[in-house]
Amino acid sequence: MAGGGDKTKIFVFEGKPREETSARCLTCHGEAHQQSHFAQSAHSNSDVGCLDCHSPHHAKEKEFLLVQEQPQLCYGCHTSAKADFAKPYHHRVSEGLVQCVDCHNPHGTATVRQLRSLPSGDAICYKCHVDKQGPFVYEHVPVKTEGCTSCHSPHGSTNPKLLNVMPVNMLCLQCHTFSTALTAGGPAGPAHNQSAKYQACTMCHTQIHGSNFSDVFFK
Amino acid sequence: MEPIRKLALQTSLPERRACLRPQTQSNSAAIQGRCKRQIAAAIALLFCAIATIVWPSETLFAQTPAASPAPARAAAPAPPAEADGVTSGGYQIHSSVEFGYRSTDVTGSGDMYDTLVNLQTGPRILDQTLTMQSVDHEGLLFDDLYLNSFGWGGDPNNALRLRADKNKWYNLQSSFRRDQYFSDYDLLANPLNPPPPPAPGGSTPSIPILDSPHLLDTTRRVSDVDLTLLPQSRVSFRLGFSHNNMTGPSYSSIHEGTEASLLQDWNTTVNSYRLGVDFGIAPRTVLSYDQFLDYYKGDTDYQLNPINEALVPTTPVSSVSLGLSIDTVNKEPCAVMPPATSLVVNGVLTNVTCSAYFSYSRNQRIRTSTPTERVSLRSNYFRKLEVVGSFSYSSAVSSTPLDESFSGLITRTNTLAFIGSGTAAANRISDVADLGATLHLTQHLRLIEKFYFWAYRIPQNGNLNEVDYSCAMPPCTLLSTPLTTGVATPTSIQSSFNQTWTRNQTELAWDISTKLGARIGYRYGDRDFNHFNDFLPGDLDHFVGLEKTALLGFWGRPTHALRLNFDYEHTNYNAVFVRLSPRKDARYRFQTTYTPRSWATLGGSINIRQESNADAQTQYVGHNQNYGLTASLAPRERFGLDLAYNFNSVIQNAIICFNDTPPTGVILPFVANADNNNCGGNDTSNNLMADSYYTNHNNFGMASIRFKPAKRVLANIGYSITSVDGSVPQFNILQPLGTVQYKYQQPVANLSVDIGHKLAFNMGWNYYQYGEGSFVGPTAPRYFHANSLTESLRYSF
Repeated sequence: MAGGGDKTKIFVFEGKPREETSARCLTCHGEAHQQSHFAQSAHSNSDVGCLDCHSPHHAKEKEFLLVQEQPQLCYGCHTSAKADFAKPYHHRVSEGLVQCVDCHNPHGTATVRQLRSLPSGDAICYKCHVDKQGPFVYEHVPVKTEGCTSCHSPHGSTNPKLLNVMPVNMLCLQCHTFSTALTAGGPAGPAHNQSAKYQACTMCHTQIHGSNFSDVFFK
Repeated sequence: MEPIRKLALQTSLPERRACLRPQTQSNSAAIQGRCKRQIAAAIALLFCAIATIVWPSETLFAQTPAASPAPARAAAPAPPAEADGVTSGGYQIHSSVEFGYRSTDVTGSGDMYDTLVNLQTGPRILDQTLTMQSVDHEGLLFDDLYLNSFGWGGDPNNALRLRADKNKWYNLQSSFRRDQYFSDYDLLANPLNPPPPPAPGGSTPSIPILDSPHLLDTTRRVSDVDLTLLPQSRVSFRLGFSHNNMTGPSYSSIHEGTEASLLQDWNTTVNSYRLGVDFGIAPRTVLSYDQFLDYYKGDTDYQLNPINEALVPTTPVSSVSLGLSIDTVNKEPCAVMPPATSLVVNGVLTNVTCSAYFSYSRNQRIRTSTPTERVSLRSNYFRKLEVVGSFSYSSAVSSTPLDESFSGLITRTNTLAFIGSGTAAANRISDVADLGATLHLTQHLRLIEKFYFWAYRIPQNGNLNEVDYSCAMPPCTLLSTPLTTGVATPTSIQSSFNQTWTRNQTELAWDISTKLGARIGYRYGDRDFNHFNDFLPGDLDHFVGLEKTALLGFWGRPTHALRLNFDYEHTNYNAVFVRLSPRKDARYRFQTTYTPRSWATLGGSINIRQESNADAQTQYVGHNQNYGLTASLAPRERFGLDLAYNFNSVIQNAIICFNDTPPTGVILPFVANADNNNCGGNDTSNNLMADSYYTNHNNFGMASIRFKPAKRVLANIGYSITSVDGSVPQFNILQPLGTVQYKYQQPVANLSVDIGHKLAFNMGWNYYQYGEGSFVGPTAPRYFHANSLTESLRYSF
């Protein structure tokens, strides 16, 4: 080199395995909270390295030196997510209001699907939907034990309220039917005439995420 | 229009002729320049005239069928020329602002348009960016600053994001987001009031509910600020604050005899405070302590929304709300009393023994305080072992008083009024521990361990009291005078809800070569759930569920251009807590990208999830299959093409038990074919049992073409469609298929012209068309189509 240094000591990223290039980046960035789970992450295990999303010298996005802006960068591999966010009812990710990284940490988390969670262990959904978190005197148990995805598709849905199933009574009846398989005792089926007003379960059971005053979630 | 006419008259006839004939040497450059300006003015005039003719304010493109792949933040593509930026004060500065006007024209259901799109007419600051980078990293306050915002002036979504840092000193990230949410899918929570006779089950009167009883028009504002001090020091500090506030009106409902419509005035706020410190206790080892505090205030109130009112012959005459359900055959809110032929005649209620509301209100003041402490450690001290772990303890305390009052009539209990009071309280004590470790056995082989533990308990207690006021001589009517002495019904709740969840995952990953890798693993989990209803002997729900999952995956890069990923998970559960939770759950995921040329990227993905629960009285089978293809081609600078197709199939089949009595003369196939066996003899309240089905096949297609017809012009046209086709049992003759069958189309066209002087003119047109394939049902039609035209100027340097 012109300055007399040892050229072999310069780390050259090109041609190196992702495991190696990522390790080089993490010598500095690995101590940060955001990157602390990278070694155990699904991305790392799928040979997705730092340089797949970041470019230290040729970034197209100044924010975080991304090779492409969010969410297009994520859509590049997660094509089904792109279609989900194009469904009529969706979280406003393509519009820029919500970002993929609001709910997922691409560098990995302690839970599955690289999902973030609140410090209390609760689902990240409650960061915005604070009124659903409780604790409630009367909890709708599956909300806490199974999570929001029991009834909702968080990316997008063809149904209002991101519901997995419409109409609502169909969604409710799937669980609110006698079953011999539930060791905890299943919920009793509603003795309501589906041909009358009772087809709209949530018209009466309005506080379906949990209630402080009604054990049947009326108020 | 007057200025346009003046501009036309300013160009004299001889001058126009001079411009049209061939130019000679005698034509000076000045004349040529003047002619060019005149031609430009004439083109502008022509454009304006055409726009005036074909674009009346109320019928913008009303006859043109079309919509957009996604309502982009800015309506048009970015300006063709990239800004150079300026250098000032030691910073390299880039900035841009885009200001424009959006015109929207909706035909059909405006409420559905607002539910799905909600882009309205008006001036907007569509986008704004500012970046400042210190040239020599010696900036006074910051080295880098990044600011971006969009949607100001009335768009339903707008956001501002700010990031700044000063090397070694601080790192700041903050954002503000505003989400205006309108939701009125009118079948949601709709009682589907029947039509008038002679229709089967006809009601007199027949009053359809035209809007969703749970319509929402709320605004959520979320602010986040996070500051890291001394980020590269051995001891660094983190400070954070978040504010989340949701306000706005919505409708709700309450069941007391019949269903009243309520006006729900939302007001919820949570303030979150974060304080953390990181200690570099050894090389590549950081110990952290974090303290969090969330404080939630739920001040949402409910008042009676007096719909479907009728006069009651009290003294003086008063009006009463009959509520949402008007179905006199099913005695909602009551039957017609002969000789009257309708429940309401000339605005007067003919049956005063009818559940109805004079007034209702419910106030609550929920206060929840959630302090959380967390200790975490991450270390790469040993080169072959990476460890990360944390433990957090959280203790939420929530309480609210109840302030409820009702006046009217509940015929079932002869209640004329009641007052609800008391206090409800609940805690949530939560422990979370996680440990992750990666052991590099060899250069290409590593063991990955993830452990997660989450235990919480929610002790609940409440002391509520309802004082009911009846009449002296039951049965009461709406004319009765309530007694001054009420009957108190106290309710004391003491229960608890606990769950302990442990999950451990071990994987062995092998990088076989730089072109191929694989991993195999196993995940084990168990959940222990307890629900103490009253802390009485035998009053305990106890559930233990085990989860055993096999994990398999590989990645491949056979060539530099081709990339493949495959993941497989298969889980067996020994028991399930929710009926529709699977006993067997298999997930397959395949993703590939192929980049044969620098300008061509092809992608494909397959995501399949298959679930089943073979319990004899559940027989649940479900799948969610997703197949996607994408192509992004830009063979020339002047031309680009984006294509996407996705097919999503969702099926959920399970046995359900239900109760259904269609009106006389109505045959619903699903109901008629159900077994009338009291749910296999287990549920006498729900006599019908059938194998229910929900199918939803969703095709999504998108095509977008970019081209540059001239050096300074960039155009884009595109089209997307979401087509849903499925089926679901019909429980009610008035229930349409709704969202199980519809098409949503969105063509889009954008034009961006670099007009020099750091300015770009952008024009974007979006069309939206929503149409369902089934009948409307007893509510307002949901079809709409809409045009949205956005014209804007973007200034950037």
